Amino acid sequence: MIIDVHGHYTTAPKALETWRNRQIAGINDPSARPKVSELKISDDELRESIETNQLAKMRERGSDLTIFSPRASFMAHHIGDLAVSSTWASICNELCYRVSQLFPDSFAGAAMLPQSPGADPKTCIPELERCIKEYGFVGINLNPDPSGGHWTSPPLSDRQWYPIYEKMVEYDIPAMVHVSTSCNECFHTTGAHYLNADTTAFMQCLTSDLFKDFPALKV
Amino acid sequence: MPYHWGRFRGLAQEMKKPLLTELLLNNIYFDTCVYHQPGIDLLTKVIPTKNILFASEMIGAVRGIDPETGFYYDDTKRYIEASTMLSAEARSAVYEGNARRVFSRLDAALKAKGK
Repeated sequence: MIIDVHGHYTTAPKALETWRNRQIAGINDPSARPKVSELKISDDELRESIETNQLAKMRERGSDLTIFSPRASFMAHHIGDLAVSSTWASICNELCYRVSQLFPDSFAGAAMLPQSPGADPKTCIPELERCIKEYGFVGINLNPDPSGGHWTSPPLSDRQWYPIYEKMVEYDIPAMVHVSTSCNECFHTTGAHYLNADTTAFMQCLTSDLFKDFPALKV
Repeated sequence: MPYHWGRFRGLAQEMKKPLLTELLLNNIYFDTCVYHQPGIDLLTKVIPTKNILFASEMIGAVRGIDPETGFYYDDTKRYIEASTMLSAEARSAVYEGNARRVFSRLDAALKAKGK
């Protein structure tokens, strides 16, 4: 069996992006905010978006199962506040869950967290637990820089992040350290910000006692 | 990361830290979203096999076809297959064994299905 541990739902139906754009437009005008129930994507649409894309390529290239999380660049944790991020994460995770149910032999879910700049990471725990317990997800994505290229959060070794690590150890799930869109024009998102973040997170682990405190942590 | 492994080792040494194998490699894993053969060769040469997880991030950051090979950049399985660093056993660990160890809940779900 060949397991691809890093796949994102980059091919979600257009309705998702349209809903997100309305949500963003409504940040300063709550009356313009769309309801979650206004986003309607059928199982057939989900099926088609996967069968013609990821699943077609998996079959062509010969991999069997992909660990599948929401589109990383669309996480955009820097947009809006915790409430905006929470609604958005919940929608995106649910779509990955539905994909994992439609194609149970080919996809297993991993969660994006409802992170937001300045918000305490422990606010992510209800969504994390929902995804693991209700959706059967097998991992999470952790963004070390919810500000999108300005690095306003403390390093991953800071105790502020520990509640997330405690849950990771409790459920025995790994985190993929993964930033999202850069809104700092110095850093190209996938060419610079993504790569910088890997080095940054690695050195934060190297210089700290993180794995002394959490010997069972997997990142 | 593998390209600068010597720097990381040297920095850890100056900080009186344990060897990276002990300090980090019981906890950190590297995926194979590296979009050319020399990159995968270096990854598999520098990083122990047990810390490498197969991945492609397909239809992601780099979606084109490499004119030098005629194949998609993100078709990373080709590089794993072509790697001269990996034995059959190591390749199988990268493809499956390591992922099942790291994603233990996935392993449990697969076992429940008889896989």
